[in-house]
Amino acid sequence: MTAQLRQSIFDKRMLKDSVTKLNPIYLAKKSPVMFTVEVGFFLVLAIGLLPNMSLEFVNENRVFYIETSIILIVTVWFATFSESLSESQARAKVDSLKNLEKEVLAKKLVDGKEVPVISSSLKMGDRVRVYAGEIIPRDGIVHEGKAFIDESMMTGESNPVFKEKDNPVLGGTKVANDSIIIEITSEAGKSFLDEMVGLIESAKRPKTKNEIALTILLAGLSLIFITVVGTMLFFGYYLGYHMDVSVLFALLVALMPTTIGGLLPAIGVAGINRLARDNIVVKSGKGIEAAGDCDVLILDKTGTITEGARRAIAFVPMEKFTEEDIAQAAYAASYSDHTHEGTSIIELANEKKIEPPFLMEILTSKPIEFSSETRFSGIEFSPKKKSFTTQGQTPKSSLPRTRVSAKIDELDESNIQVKILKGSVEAILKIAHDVNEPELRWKAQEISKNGGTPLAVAVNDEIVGLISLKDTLKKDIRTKLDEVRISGITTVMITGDNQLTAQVIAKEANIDQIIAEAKPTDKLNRVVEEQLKGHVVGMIGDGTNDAPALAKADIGLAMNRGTAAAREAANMVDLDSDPSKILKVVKLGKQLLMTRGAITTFSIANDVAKYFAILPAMFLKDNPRMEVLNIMHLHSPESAVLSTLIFNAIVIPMLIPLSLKGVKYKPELPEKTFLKNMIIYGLGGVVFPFAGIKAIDLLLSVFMR
Amino acid sequence: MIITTGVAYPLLVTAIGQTVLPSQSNGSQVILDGKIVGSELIAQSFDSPKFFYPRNSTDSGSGVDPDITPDNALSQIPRISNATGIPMNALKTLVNLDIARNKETNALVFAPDYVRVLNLNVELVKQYPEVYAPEVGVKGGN
Amino acid sequence: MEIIILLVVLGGALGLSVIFGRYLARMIVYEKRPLENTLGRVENGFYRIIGVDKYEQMTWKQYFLAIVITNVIAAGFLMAVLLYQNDLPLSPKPGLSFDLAFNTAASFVTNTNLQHYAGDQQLSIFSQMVGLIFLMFVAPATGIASAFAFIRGFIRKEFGLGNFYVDFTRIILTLLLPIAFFSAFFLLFLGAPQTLDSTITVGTLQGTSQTITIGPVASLESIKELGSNGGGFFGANSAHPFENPSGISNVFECILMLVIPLSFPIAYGHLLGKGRGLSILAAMLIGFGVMLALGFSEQNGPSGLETRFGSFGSALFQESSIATNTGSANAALAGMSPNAVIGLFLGMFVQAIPGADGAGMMMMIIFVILTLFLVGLMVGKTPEFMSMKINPRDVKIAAFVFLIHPALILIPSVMAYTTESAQSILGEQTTPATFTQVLYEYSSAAANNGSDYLGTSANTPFWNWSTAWIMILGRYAPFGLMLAIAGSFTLRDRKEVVEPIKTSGFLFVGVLSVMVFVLTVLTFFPFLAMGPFSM
Repeated sequence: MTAQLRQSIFDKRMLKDSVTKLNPIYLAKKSPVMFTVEVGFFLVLAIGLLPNMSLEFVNENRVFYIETSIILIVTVWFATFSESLSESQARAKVDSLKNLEKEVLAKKLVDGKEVPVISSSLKMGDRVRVYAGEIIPRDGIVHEGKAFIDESMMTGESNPVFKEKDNPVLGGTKVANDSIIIEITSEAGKSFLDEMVGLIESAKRPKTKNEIALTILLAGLSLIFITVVGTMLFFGYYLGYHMDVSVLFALLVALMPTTIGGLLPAIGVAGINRLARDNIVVKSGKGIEAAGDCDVLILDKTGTITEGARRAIAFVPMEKFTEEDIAQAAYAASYSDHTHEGTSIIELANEKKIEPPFLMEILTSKPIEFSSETRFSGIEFSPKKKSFTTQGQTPKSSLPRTRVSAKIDELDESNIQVKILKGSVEAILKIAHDVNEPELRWKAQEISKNGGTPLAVAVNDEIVGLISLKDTLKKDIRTKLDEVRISGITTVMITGDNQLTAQVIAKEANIDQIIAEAKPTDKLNRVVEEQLKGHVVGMIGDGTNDAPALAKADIGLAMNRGTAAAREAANMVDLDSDPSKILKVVKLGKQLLMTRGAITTFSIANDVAKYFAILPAMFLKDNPRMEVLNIMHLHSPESAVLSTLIFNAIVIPMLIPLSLKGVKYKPELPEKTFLKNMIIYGLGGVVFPFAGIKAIDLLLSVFMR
Repeated sequence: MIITTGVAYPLLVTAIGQTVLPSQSNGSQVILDGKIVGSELIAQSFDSPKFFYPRNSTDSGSGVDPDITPDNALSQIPRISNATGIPMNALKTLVNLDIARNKETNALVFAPDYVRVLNLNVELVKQYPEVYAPEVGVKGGN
Repeated sequence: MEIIILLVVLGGALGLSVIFGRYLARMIVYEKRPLENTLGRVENGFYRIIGVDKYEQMTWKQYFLAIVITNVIAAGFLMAVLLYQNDLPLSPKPGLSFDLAFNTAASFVTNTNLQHYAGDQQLSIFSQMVGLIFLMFVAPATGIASAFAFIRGFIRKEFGLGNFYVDFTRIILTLLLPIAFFSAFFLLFLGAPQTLDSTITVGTLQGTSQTITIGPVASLESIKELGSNGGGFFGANSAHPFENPSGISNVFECILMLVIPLSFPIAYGHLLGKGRGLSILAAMLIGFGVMLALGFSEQNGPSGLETRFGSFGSALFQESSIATNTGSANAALAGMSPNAVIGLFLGMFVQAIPGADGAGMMMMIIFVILTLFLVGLMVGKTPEFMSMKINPRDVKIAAFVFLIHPALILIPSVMAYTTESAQSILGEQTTPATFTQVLYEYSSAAANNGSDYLGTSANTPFWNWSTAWIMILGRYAPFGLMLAIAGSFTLRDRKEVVEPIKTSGFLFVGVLSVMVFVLTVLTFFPFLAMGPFSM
């Protein structure tokens, strides 16, 4: 942060930019408060430079006017500087992204032959072959082949990601091994990366509602102070005070909310920057602000709350069988299942040193693939040909015979096709009837109660037992969700698991509500339902069927590894594809509003001290009764005015780090946050300028003596 | 609405007021020997040294403050005693009686102690009719 | 003794406002009132006469238009009466000049009751009774009706803000008139006269003759205080013994002034949550407490005291009167200490502690909205009020309502000096004291308060015209803007969720009070320093 800050301070382009922004026309449009300060600069400077200005309201000496005008213009510059600084940080991110987008030579497939073309000439629908070590020329989907892709340049994720047919790939990422054929899915200049650069780069982002409201409030305050100071000139004159235009202008500038007025643009840009630094691309500032208001978060169980990889943790036999039986059957049923779950079942069996005695059969078995209709998978094998199975030839298993192997032998004998299957309890019950069903259901229930998912295993029509699969909670998810809850956000977990399992996980992770056995449309329904109740809903999604819900949600965070439709529909995309980042987005949204609020409060609170510094300087000479107000005892009227203005100016750069980093946010009761911020920025805002102005005055008095 | 609020309402108050509370309705008149001598609520100017004086009309917000403070009344006692020959103690007693009466009308706590000048002067005339005969020109009621 | 007076005033006002608050709440949501059937029949008669469909619901624009139409008619009527009172019955007096009549009409229709005419000396009994008393019902009824509509904006969803004519009729007939009627009798009992004669002539003790001005004082006095009007029958206002005969009447009038303004937060509490209502009430009382403290800091009292009230009774009455923007006075302002005067200014600058009938409540909610905006930001939530999002337009309008006030006070004050109008009545040499008088005049006009230093000396075309327009702008501009806010809130979605920061409780009351104080003081600090502070 500091290094980055230092680097950007010496960025020439940024310095030039901050000076260009001093253009009064630009300021008049962008920041009325700063425009007024600049008008003051021209006016006071004119009084200081023009010869023989002996007007009714000009009483000070030339040097004072020039000093005042310099401080005023520096005040404006500090404001434009802060804006340019945050913009230059945004540019730095854009530049690093743009480097990825270099032109590369692509091997376009024309009639099955590879033709080298430059990447920018590729059109949608073109197919290109990319070999190991080459850069993918544009966004697309895998048409043929499988490969590991290195996406670290986009996401910071160092492990290459496995992609196969129909998976999306991003332009600019690198193929790590093998070669794949990619079908291009985006036009030149319209790729995801291009869009991202465009979003970050457009510093002319539209103001959000809160920003507009705050700008109006600040303009209103400024108008009030202009009225106050303007009429003071007349009243002072008629009451016989020696009024001075520059002192009045100094009072006006001091009273106007210059601090927040100057820092407001920087705060907005900084919000987008900070998300970009976390590899989240925001499509509109609105999304971030909505994030601050988010009070319902709909979270997928898998991948967000849990690791998303269920592992077998126990074998539960039916009463007739032993653990060994079910382990053997499960082993067999999972033999052809190369998913994470399947592997974990074999591993668990190995761990328990259980191996089926009928390995030969398994080795030669035919896999039964999982399908959405049957909802089970496993193996089948034909009975051993009698001719081959003489006692001597068959390697006799050294393991003791179990009921399962006995049963298989029996089936063998009877020349019956053997099927060993695993699947959801309901699915298996449809095909296997030889079981004490109440017992099965009871045991499945027990597994669910402990947060596991039961899988039933059957050998032909007899159910042997259950496998308990369990997903593990993500690291730190509990702490993160605790924070979310304290901030007053309701969490809703959505899962395909049954009610019981869902409840257990919800309890473990400290989730408020669950939607169990969810259908794809449930997400959208829930989003709409919550919104109708007036909630601001945040959600995460990656699938195409998430897209409608992502579009409808107030904060839709799409995973980069998700489908294009999901990314299109969401208002933010996480390049790291880490669902738990939505918590970060919420936090940042809050910080953004809080930073504005805190600096506004600080700015207004400062006015108290400024009155006490300038009013005595203005009136004391002509009205000794004002001595009561002179609690600061500043060196002289001139030093009082100058030190107030200097204080007013340097507060802006002093608060730049705070504007860029944001006010510290701790998850806690809003009342507590409020009280704390009020003490720091409200009360602090009253006290701090008393000390600051006095200190500057002491310094000035050394020179002015 | 004009008729309801601007005509009916004040007339109704007037009609009932004149019937039920005629004295207050007509300005809390002070009657001496059947003659109206003033309103107890409106200061009356006195120049004879025999009477208690009200405040100068411009000293009060209303200009017709009918009351004076007890201190003011007490400070006038020597002058009145001199002019009338009424003993100071007797005057003091009358003043205190008036204060007590006013305290009662204000339920003891709702106003500071004060002396209602016209009432006090009428009381003087009633108590000492012969002394005040030249000024009042009527016989006091014994 | 002083403590007892204070407790009776506050306790009496609060006690009654608990009763009337409940009643106001019923009126706001058109719930059944006691004697509903009888009252309903009477009111229906009125609706038939003016040709109003009582079921018609108005948008904020229609509601505001109805206010303007009704008020213009009422003011026009008063103006005609004042101009031609010489031709009208009941002790006719010469008609007023056009600018004075305009000023007086504007003053009474806007609930200000700034009086540039010489009270009983310049107005006939007919003008006082038929003209002024009528307007003294119209003005507070308008303010109360607006506040009804305003509060409905936060309760109703897409159902308009109510019907002004219905509200107006019901408020006059079933709220103001009954209370005014009974209060008039109580005041009558305490010594306020009530007759159609304009003078009585008596032979004094010393044999000279004394002419005493009299009239239907009691019936005017009760609605004057109840309706936060403040325009006295006599030039001396509530200092006059006929308007305010005793210590008890002084206490009673204080209670009358406070009761409706304090009933509003209670009504609000019934409708939108008890805690919220009590919190607003607390914020109002804190502000009022500051004013009282400033008022009581003056121990010896102004020179213009009435003996029967004493220093305490005067200070209590003056601060109550200014706090409720009634603007009646029971002592001369001129004699008051700088502290007490600063207290009075504070009341007129804030206009909501507790402020005039209806108008004070609306102004306080504007402060609430501004407070919630900042509070929301401070906790990282888009600000909301009553579970409805506060959008830029609301902030714009609220800021504008807040901006109008200083502009209406300060700019005309400058004009008074640049046109030499101030100097011509206050002397060539401007002193803090005379500056205070000018500032006070426009503060009073802009806040629709009506108390003033200048009195009949300001009966010049400049002062009559300028204050008249300031009173009109100070009344209708904020009303229109506030109704616009309410109108847009009725169209807004409401949540059934917990507020990010509770709009009740100690923290909220504290923040709201600080916000009211800081915003006001930051705006007016230099002028208080140049004016009353330097007196």
